[in-house]
Amino acid sequence: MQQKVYYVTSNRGKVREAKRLTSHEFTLIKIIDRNAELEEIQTFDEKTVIEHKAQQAWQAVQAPCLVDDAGFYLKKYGFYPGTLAKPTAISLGWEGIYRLIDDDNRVTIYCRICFTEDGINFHHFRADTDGEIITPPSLELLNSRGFASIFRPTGSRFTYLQMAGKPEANEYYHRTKALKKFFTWYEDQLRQRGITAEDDDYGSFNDSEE
Amino acid sequence: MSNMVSTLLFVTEKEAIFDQVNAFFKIHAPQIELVFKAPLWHELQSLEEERVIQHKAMRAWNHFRQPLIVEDSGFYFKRYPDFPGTLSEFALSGLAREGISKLCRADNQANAFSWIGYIGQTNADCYFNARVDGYIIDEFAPETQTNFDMTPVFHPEGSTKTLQQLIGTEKEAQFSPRLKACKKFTNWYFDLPEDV
Repeated sequence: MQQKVYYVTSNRGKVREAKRLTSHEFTLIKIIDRNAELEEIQTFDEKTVIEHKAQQAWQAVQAPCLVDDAGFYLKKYGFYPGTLAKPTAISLGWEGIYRLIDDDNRVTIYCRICFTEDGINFHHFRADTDGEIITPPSLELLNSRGFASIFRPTGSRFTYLQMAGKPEANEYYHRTKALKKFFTWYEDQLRQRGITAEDDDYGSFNDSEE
Repeated sequence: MSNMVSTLLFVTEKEAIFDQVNAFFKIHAPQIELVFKAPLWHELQSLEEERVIQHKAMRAWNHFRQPLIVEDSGFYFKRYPDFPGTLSEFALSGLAREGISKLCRADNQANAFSWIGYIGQTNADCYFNARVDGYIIDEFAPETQTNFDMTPVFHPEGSTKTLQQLIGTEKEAQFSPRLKACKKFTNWYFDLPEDV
């Protein structure tokens, strides 16, 4: 039997990405889509923010579940905006962001995954990618595709948007890396409990329940 | 208000804010004794002022179950009309003087706001807010990333001092959005006209 894990998020694209990974590489795990808006709290502490989300997710499904939280740090400002990256980018806007980084465009983007099987113990997995915010190719692209169109990881010639769907994305995407860390750890846990690939129920392979 | 209470909890993270509001109440509402209580939770992450103050009030009420007030303050750059708002303290401490200076260089005009939320009993919550135009004075921001609010850097229009410099002066109630919101609350509480 595959172990069901609920991915509690309001973003269907994230669930698709997790399912793509489990169907190819981590076949002991079956991702179940649970659409939910989770309340976020206001603090710079990454672990506090994501555990608050994981507690809500557990309340919603009462079953093994994972949540994610992502953000970025502007190198020039150390810990800022971090967990508040999304509301900061929305409220300040790109013009303001570019003003803040006019002499240092280095940025670190991160993704954190929090998983719980019992609502008591929370397991954390984190990955980050260093890079830079480049001048937008066009304002239309920036407004329509956002951060992905201007973030270029260190060591790559491509932005996140340009590498979408290419093998290179697996090397750089912060969420992909964090999910892989979790899936690797969890499959190891499952094997220790005696669950093996031979037990897999391929008939309902990665179906969505919701 | 007929059911007057003599004691009101003021649930706030900062003792300095408690001291400022308490000094105002001692003069303008001596019938109310404020008691300091620190929240044991984080506030909601939202750009909507009303959602943040309501969440603060409800969380406090659910915990203490006693008549109480909560407070939330911040400012907006005129050039960035949604920023930093409810994220003000985080933006100020995260950006420190250098980041704030970059934003001020474009335009340092700003608008400060304060909310007071009151809950006297279940399903009886009321909210009061005040806004003041002014400027952000970046040179008064700490050089290092330390936790601070807008008080030292916000300079109300028409004043010769920042909010920090106004504390304890005769002009404080005229320019401080926090005390203006307090005044709206106490006028409502004692059933007085708004402009008294």
